[in-house]
Amino acid sequence: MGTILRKYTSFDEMKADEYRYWQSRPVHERMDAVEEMIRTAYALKGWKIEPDLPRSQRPFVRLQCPWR
Amino acid sequence: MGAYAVIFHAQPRFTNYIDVFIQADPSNAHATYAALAAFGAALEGIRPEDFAERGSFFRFGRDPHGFGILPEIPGVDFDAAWERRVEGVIDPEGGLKAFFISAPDLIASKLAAGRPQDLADADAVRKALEAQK
Repeated sequence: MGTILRKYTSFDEMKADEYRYWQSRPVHERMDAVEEMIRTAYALKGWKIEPDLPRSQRPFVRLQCPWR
Repeated sequence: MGAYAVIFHAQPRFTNYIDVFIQADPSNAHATYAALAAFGAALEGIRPEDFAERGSFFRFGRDPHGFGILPEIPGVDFDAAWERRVEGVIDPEGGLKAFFISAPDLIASKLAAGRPQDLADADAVRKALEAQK
């Protein structure tokens, strides 16, 4: 998308352009954008992303499927 | 599957979890248990055969980097979904690939789950497909 200013006449048209853009990018770029989004969202909220716990200390929980 | 499949088929969106859909049979349950043990997951109280039981799912880790292991998802059969899976390179430097649920199966599961976010995801994937026609 870059710095090009585009004019849209509908929200759907704008979203379609967004989808075309992201689908033109490699898969890993879409995945990397999620991490950036997470960090930005946490920063906006003033939350701190806790350093990852050692793997063996991560709680493992079993839950009932809500759709059943 | 889940949010990362939506991101694969549509565009990036915020998520706190990576959900993994597994085949719920005895041999795959043992393979799943072994993989999680090798990863270092705390599996106290969890038996390998638990991963073959439908009706429950598993979570570990914590936001925003949590993991879900799902032996079943609504609206989709594993074997058919596996046949239609799609592959993507998620780490080009290491050449790491991942399998993603197909767009039609993702839409079906999201519609069957039916929560507001699921319906929004199904709509996003459908519109992303239409945008590329």
